[in-house]
Amino acid sequence: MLFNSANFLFLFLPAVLLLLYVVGTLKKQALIPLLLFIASMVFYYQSNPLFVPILLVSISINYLLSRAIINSFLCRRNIWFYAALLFNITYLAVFKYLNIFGLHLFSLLGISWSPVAISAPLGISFYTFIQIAYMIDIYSGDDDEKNPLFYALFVSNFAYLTAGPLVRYCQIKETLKGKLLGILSSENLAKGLTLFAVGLFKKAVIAQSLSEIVNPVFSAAALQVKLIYWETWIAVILYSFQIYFDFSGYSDMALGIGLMIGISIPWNFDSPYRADNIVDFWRRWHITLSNWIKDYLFTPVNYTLTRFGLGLNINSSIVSNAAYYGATLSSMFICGLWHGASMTFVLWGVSHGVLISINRLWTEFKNRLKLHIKSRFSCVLAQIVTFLSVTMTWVLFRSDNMATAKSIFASLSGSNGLYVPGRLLAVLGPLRPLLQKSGFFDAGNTAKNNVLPTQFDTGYILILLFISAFIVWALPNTKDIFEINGSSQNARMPGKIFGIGEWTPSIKWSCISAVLIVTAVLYAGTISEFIYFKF
Amino acid sequence: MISERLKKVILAKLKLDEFDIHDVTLANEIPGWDSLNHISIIIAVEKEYNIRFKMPEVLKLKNIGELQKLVDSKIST
Repeated sequence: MLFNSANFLFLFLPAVLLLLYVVGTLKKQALIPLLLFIASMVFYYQSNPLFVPILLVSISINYLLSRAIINSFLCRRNIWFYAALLFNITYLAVFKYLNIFGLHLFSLLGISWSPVAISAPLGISFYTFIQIAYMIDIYSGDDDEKNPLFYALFVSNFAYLTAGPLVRYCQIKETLKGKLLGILSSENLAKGLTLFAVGLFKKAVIAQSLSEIVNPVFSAAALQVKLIYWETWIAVILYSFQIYFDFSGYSDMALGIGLMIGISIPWNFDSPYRADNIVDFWRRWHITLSNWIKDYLFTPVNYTLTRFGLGLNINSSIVSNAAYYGATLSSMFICGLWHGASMTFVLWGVSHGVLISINRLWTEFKNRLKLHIKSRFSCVLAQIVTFLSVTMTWVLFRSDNMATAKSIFASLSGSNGLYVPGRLLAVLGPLRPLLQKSGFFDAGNTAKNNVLPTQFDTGYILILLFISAFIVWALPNTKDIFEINGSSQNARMPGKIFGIGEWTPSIKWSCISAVLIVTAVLYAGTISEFIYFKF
Repeated sequence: MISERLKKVILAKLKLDEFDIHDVTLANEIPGWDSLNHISIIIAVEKEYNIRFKMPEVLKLKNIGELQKLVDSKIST
């Protein structure tokens, strides 16, 4: 069941809220976790009945392993801990990677192999990572969960089960254990509903409109059609916006649902395209995943490599640098692989590892030369460079295979010529005769077939580009508007454009959420899956 | 209470002249202490006190006060 489907919006969510209300008025609060767990299973069952037992087996075994870790000491404790890690990695590998790796391995050995007819269970990457983090946390001495029902609900809550955020037990234990944000408190309901409406609008209206322009270009690239330079650039930049609106919209909906059912879920986005370097980008994009990677992969690998290097009596500065680059590249390699078992995702991850490494080299270079550039211009330039770098990596992320990515990069680099299509020339005004006369853009051109559907005129595409850019760079983000944990820092608010300030329970905000929801529902002609559902 | 010795190691590693460090100070509140420098600082602290942390201890550290406590517990054993 998708958050933007009619079944979820008009049946499932109202029913859950109604039941919560009934349980609340009957003063049977103790039933809430059970109710939410059953609701989560019903929600998950709708995607594929087979996925439910796979999830329940994972939860049960992890619960038993976690109890074994807590109740044993010294050597046994270590054994149970490593058994838990091994179990989760194997479980994920079997359901997500076996078909692909099996295919490669058997073809190398010259044995024919028919892939097992099972698609990767929805959300398996998320619930496995949530449980790995839990195991590491309790092994390090953090609080554990004794009650199996609470544990099961912590892993499988429908608000974040299918596509995150990657919650940690310590972040939601209070709200899970009945210390709710207030069962159906009118303010949280209204706030959650508005946040949900914003997310739904981002997904169903903006990301959907962008995908209609992006998809034909990537489909044509998959068929090895020679793409027109300008069309490819437009599609690639619009995809950057699409994936942001799609995934941050999904996260907003998850947080909104969390508020409505009384669970405080951590923020996952904070205007990532306003980052002025790649490290800053990862502090703002898919925040819960990047924190996971930092805490459970990067730091342990960095520490182990540094210790190992120092043990070999190598110069400490060399060790520290080598360990940093090694940890960065290996962590981002895993991050890519986590997204999918294909060369495109692996290269996407590694390319981010390379960008982070370049960032460190650049920072060290600046420090050595004592360069402290802090002008408005350099900041904007840094944002543009960061955005374009990330946009280039999204090409790998979006392409179904390496051949598609190569075709897109070929067109982006101008190797299909720099031909300006007539429809773009038409809006260039005074520049038009100049470009036509020069003939420069026609030289060496091999691609003249427009791929973009003709119903989208250039004006519409440019307006879409402008609106997306305006929202991404000029409007306050949802974290600024809805700061949930009561620590609103309005100093961060980048100007109250059009009166969009902090959310308050007011007529203005109820009108905004009504307009957003109605537009999104009317607009959602075709229900499309979220990009992050396949992970 | 953060000891002068621990404070000195941290500030020297980050090339800072002075910064007010308390028990509840978070690593990322100290200028320059990011994931890039985190491990170098931990290793510098180990070196200064001639102690060795375990991985779970490193992962669990939440603020400078906890680092001080961890150092104290290592020295006393």
